[in-house]
This record gives sequence, C-alpha cells and structure tokens, in this order.
Amino acid sequence: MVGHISYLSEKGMQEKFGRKLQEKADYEFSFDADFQVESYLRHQGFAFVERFDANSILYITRAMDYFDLSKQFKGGLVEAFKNQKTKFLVISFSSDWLYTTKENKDTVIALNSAGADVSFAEIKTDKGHDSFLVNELEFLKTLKGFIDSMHIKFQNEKK
Amino acid sequence: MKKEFRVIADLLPRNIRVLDVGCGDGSLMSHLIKEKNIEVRGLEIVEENVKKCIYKGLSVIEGNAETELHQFPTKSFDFVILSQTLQAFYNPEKVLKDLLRIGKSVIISIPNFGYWKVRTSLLIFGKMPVTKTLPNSWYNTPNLHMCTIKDFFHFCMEKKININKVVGVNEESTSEIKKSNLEIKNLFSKVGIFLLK
Repeated sequence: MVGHISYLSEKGMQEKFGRKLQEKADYEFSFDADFQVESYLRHQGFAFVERFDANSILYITRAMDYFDLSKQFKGGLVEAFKNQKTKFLVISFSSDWLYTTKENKDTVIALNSAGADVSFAEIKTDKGHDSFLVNELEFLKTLKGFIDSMHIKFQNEKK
Repeated sequence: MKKEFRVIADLLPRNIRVLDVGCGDGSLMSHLIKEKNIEVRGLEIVEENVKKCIYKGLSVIEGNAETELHQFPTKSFDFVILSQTLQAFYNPEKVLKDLLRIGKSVIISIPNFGYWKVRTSLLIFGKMPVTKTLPNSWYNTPNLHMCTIKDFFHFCMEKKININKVVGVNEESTSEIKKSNLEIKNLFSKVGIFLLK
C-alpha cells in the first residue's frame, strides 16, 4: 500500500480522493477505512498479495540494492557509457517521485559526457510514476515520434 | 529558411560535429544534416520545440544553456552555434566562456541594437524599439542584455577572444564586417554573425 502511493502523484490523488469519505456521512473514529483513499489502497494491497509472492518482492528489492552500474567502471557512469553506438532517448515525468527528472538528467549528463547520442524530454503530467502505463498522450507522441523517425532513417540507409 | 541560417550554414565545413545551443524547432539542424552531412546535437529550453525536434529524429536535450552547458566535455564539438540568444542570458559572459570551451570554433549571432530603425525609434519617438528582429515590448521581452554589433566587437577584443569573421545581415544583403566599416555596418545591419575561435 505504501509502495502504491509512490506510483501516483500528489495532485492526482488529491483530485481523485481528497478527504472524501467511504460510503459514510461522518468519521467513525475506528481503524476501518473511513476515507475513500484508504479503501482504495486497501483494495490495491489485497490485489497485490493475491497476485504476487511476497518473497519475489524481497528478491527484486535486494537485486536493486546490489545493482551499481558505476562500480565496475572506476570512472563512474561516464566510463560505463563510453563507446555506445545506440541512439538514446531519455524521458522523465514531472510528477514521478521514484525516477525524478533530476536523476534522469544525471543519466543524460553522464551519457553526454561520454559522447553518446542522447535526447532528453520531460513530460509535464500529474499521473506520477504510472504515467508510462496510462494513456499519457504527450509521452506516447514523443515515443512514437522518436521510433518513427528512426524507422524512416534505417529504411533510407537500407536503400 | 532564415537568411541568417543560410549565412551560418555557409560558414561551416562539411562532415563535422556541431552543437546548436537554443536549437528551436530544429530547422537549422535539419538543414545542416541534409546539406553538409554534419553530425549535430541540440540543446533547447522550450518543451514544445524539443518534441518537434525528436519527431524529426534530431538529437536534442531539453535543458537550460545558462545552467547546463557544463555537461558537455571540453572541445567535444568542432563548432558551437548560438543564434540570437546571448542577449537573453543572465550572465552572457559566462555562457560565452562555456561555448568557447566546448567548441573549437563558435558562431554567435546577435540582434543588432545599433540598427538605424532601433536608434530612430528611441531618438525620434522616445520609445523602446519594436521591430521584426525585436518583436517584443519592454515588459515582455526575453532580452536582458541587448548590445550592438560594435559593442560585441569591442567586447571580444577586450576579452581577447579571436574574431575570425563577422557578417552583417539586413533585408537586402549580407556583407562582411571589418574594423574599417564597423560604424556604417553597425548602423545598417539587423543581425550580426560572429565566427570566434
């Protein structure tokens, strides 16, 4: 439930739930779900427990903790990104609490310093971390534009 | 395409690496790739423009030149271009220093505040000039540090920045600006384009 909050944005949750009560006229001062947002998060929590083995989450969290791209390259991220032939597009979402624009920008700066071919765009949205799952038009348009233009480029190179 | 862009393109050799700072919707970048086989990257602050560039397949980073030029390694580009943006920075001197660090050469264009229409607007009408190259009013202009071609010429000499070539652009023609014709060109050029080393 706590994790689920981090997929959303403050504004998004405020608009969807605010302090609205869950099918009741007033506070009940109990530990049941008085607020709609509580009820929603509980529902999501139960759904997660049903769908995933809790141990898998432990393993994934540990794997993330141990992952350090710059460790094997003594010069840090810049060293790691040297001699890349890939064309990179980095996109961040303005309301994402987990992968912030600032951190994405750090990646872009490292790529840039390594001389990689990189583009970067920030999508202004209030849909939070989950923006990439929902129908965020600006994101989809940008991604489509990038892939389409690459497709045309490769086709022309083939000819 | 803008006449200014054609002059800039003519100053560039083929098959080089160029960084376009404040690249807008990428029209100069597209032209350079097509006509001169130049490998070009852009930096642009306006979100809409960044997306337009990405749709065109151009490599562009959304960012602010005032604070983010440090990420580009020293001498990592043959040329760095800054088109009519220098006057909009809080600290143009610092930006220029960074540009000269990143590029082996730098091309800078400035809207000329010494252009006769600008001068007469202030002299005759006593009002801040609004022209085609300076379309905003005093209260909504992004330009913080306006200068003339002569100002920038003297600035470069003072700072010991090597001026390789200066081109003046107005409605009818483009012409090379030298020390000897600086006064007259400063009066009749709308835009000044400087090639610095």
